[in-house]
Amino acid sequence: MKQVSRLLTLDSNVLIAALKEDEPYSEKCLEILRKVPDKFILSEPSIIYQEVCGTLARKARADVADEAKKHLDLIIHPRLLASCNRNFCVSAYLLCSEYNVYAIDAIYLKVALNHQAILVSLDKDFIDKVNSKKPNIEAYHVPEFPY
Amino acid sequence: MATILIKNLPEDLLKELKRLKVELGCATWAELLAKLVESERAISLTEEEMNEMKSGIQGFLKLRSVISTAWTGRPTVLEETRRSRAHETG
Repeated sequence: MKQVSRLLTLDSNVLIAALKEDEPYSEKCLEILRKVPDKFILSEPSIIYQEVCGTLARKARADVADEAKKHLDLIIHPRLLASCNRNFCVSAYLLCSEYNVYAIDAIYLKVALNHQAILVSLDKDFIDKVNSKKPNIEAYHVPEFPY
Repeated sequence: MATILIKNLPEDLLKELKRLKVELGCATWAELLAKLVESERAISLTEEEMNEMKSGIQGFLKLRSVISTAWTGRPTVLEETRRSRAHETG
């Protein structure tokens, strides 16, 4: 019988931290990523490419970023990749006020809200702000991810 | 329990529903409908798509060694991503 996987929106910092061994919570980020796709399927904004690959290009090398891009293409299903175009951004910016979060954080939050996905970030401040508004999604700081 | 009669169901849709009923292990149509409602929060992929994702995750995580060699210590990932998002510091 086929298994149904839940949707998960990972902040780009979770994907990057899974690749940096000396990072606090790196192992936990790794553990979360390893649950894709059997338990979770990622639902992400397209800006994740710029955040992950841009950071890797800056902190490692451009060819490593290219490699990461190829893998992201496989990891994120096209149907679950939200294009950060005008309409999407226009629909997301009010979250900055509603949740008192920064602009890019609001983009990840919008994707999670749109897909009723579980939101996970390394940024505790971001998650605390989201949870303080009692949204109808689950949101976790990485060490608190219960699944 | 209520009963519903569905008229004018296109053949293609019926075929797809039958496939999902088997794939999701539903004994009845009511069970399938319940799962589809629940699936607003979930997704069912083909085996090929699942395998592609698994291969993507494995390949992505293979970069761990090269990244960890090139980038050690500070800034941490959180510091770097906050900086790139121009979050205020302090």
